[in-house]
Parts: sequence; C-alpha cells; structure tokens
Amino acid sequence: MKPIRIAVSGLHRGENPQPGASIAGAIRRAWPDAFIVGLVYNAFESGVYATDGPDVCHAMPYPTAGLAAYLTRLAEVRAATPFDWFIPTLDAEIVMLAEAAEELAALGIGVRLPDPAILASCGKAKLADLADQCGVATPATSVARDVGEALEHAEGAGYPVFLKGPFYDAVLVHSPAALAVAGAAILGDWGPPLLVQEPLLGTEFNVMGLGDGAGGVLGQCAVRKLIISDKGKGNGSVVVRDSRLDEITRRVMAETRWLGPFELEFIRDQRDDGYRLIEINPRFPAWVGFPAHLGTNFPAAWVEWMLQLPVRPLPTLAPGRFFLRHQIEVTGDMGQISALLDALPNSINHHLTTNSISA
Amino acid sequence: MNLETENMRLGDLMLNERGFVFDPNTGESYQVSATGLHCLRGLQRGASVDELVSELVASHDVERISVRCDMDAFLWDLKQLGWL
Repeated sequence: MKPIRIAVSGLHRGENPQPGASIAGAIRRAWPDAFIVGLVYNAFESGVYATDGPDVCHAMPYPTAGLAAYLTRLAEVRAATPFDWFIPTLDAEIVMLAEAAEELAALGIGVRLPDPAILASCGKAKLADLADQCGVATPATSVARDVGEALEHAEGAGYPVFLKGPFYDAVLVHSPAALAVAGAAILGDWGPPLLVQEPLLGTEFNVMGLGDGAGGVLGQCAVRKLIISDKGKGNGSVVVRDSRLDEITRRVMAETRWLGPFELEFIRDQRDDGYRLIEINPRFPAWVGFPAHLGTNFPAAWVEWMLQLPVRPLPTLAPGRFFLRHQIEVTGDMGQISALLDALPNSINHHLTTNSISA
Repeated sequence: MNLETENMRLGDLMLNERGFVFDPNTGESYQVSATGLHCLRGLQRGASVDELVSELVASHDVERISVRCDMDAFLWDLKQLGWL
C-alpha cells in the first residue's frame, strides 16, 4: 500500500481547540509514514508548530471567500504538495464542500461528507424537526432573522435565553439590552439566523462516532463533560455508558443515514433526567484524540472506510476513562510564518497574520 | 424503550477498596464510608437488607434498630441516585 497522503484543517489547539491536530496524530498512530498536509487559515494555528504536526502546511482562504476561490486554492496546494484525501473539520468548510462533490472529484481530492440535504436538516435552525422525527427531545428553540425578531422571541419565552449563531457561539443573555449586543456580534461574525433557545439546567454529554452512510455506526463513544471552559468547551470529560444515549444515537444515525464523523451534544435535563439533543456537529470533535490514545482510533477507521480498506475494530472504551486538556507551548520562528505567507496569492494574505500593513 | 426513564442498575457501579464509587451512567463519582462500601458490595452480590443489617450488628457494637434506621436512610439515598 502506498503511503497515505491526506490533508486536514482545523489545527489550532488554543482556548477554542479544533480537531485537526488530533486527527493528524491519530492517523500517524495508525500509519507512521502517512504524509499529512495541514490547511490553515491563520499563521498562528498552533498545530502548525507541533512536533507531531503536519509534514507541510498551506494557507487557505476562509470559506467566506466562496467556493470558487477555495477550490482554486485547493488545486494550487495539491499541485505543490500532492494529497489524495481531505478531512475538513470546520463546520463552515463542511457545509460548503458538501455541495462540491463533483468539483472535488475533478480535482482528484477525495472528500466524504453527508448529503447537503442531511446537513441542512441537522443545522441548528432545523434540529427540532429532525429530533422530532427521531423521537428525541430538544430544548424549545425559535429562529430569528435579525435582532428585532430575536427580541420578540425572547420576550415571549422569558429571560434568560441562549442566543446562538448558525455555526458557533452561544451566549446566555438575561435582558433585551444584552441580547441586542450579543445578537449584533453573532450576526457580524456568522450571519443569520439567530436562534433563541430555552436554557436548560443539567450536565452536558457528548457522543462521538462514525456513521456508515447506511443508517448504522462504525463505532461511538459517549462522555460526560467534567470541566467546562468559559466558552463552553469540555476541557475534561469522562467516558460513560448509558443505553439511552446509545439508543438516541442509533435513531439519529438511522434517520439521517449519516456518513462520516459526527458529534451529538446533549444536556441531561435535571428536571426529568431526560436527554435533550442540543446540537449535531458534522465532524470530529476537538477531543477525538482522547479515544485514539486509548486504542479507539476513529480517524484511522474513517480513513480506512474512505480508502475502502477493512475497517479496524473500534473497541468500546471502558466507563471511567477520562481526559483533561493540558495546554503546552509550541515554538516557532517568524521564518515559518514567512514561508507560509510567501506561497500565498496576495488575495488571501490578509487572513494570515494578526496585523496587516497597508501600502 | 422509554428514553426518559431507565433505572440505573446498582450492579454497574464501579467501586474500589477506598470507597470511591463511579457511576458509569452519569459520570458522577462519590466517596462512601467503609460501612457504606460494605453495604453497596453486599447489595451488588444480592444480599438482602436484613442480611446486611445482621452482618453490621454482628461486627459492630450497635443496636439492631439503630442499624436498620441508618440502613433505611442509606437506601433512600441510593434510590434518589437511581441506583435502586
């Protein structure tokens, strides 16, 4: 078998960690000679400088630059550093690339993503409908096109409410003034819609897994968050075993015929001890490296599935195994940033540094 | 399957010698006394409450009625946690 050459995005491991660096590490654990191409949006993505990071990194335009610009750059990167497969890890990439299967195939880049219609049905704005079809509870949620509508919905629901963007960000707001500020910020970052959601009290659980595209799963792992950061990220989680989570996951996978990595986010509502489905993420989560360290290597299994190789077993992790996120410093020098910038078309230079100089 | 209510089985609890208890269903952990650990292990192996009370009376200088009272309080706590 020739060495695997695969591109991965989402390499930052800072305060709001992304999964790409862990995916690269997990692939290397299975295939030490794998060639990993890192696709980055910012020269300060920490995974670029990790000792077990990608073999080479290339800068990309943000998905907001549009599909044509994105594909043009992908073709340039592939010409400079050949790779056969790409595992996108960021929601905005996935939504865009799911619509571009033919274009990606024409470039010789293998990407396996859920059907665009399935992705749309799993988006935050439509999650309640899907959950209803699966017989799964969700928090009461209303969709607003702008801040004015969000204010109306919040007034009806009563404060506090969670205000969410279409992809990221969730802010608990206690007043109309706070909602207006948060809503403007979210719209500025992510665009519409805004989601107004009832806040739930309870503990947070996540299920990561791989859908086989035929309604089944290749494997899954359920955890309870132990430590939650100010941004709501799980900085520590413990493996749990609850047949209800297994059953909910099975229903969602069967209903969507999900293809590829997923993460389901739940709150176990303290009012009735029932699970509420909060979100479906169409990608590996940032904690994907945790099960891989313990022998349940989801990225390796996914690569095998994509390459139509026999898929290695994904052992069920024993309850009680846990991870804690441990931040360390990685080092680099400005020459590495310069190398990233030198290879770039001028049109995307401005994305790559925190400061820019206008002539 | 009822997704909203399913009792945790006591047998799933993970215990160690120091009285550390991990509930794999909820991810919560607890610390119990040596007596509590003895009772949990007894319940896991299927001992009756009367048997456990008799064991404690035999091994401690304490009235049966007092043990039974404390045992009922302990069982109530376990029920609240969904373990019974």
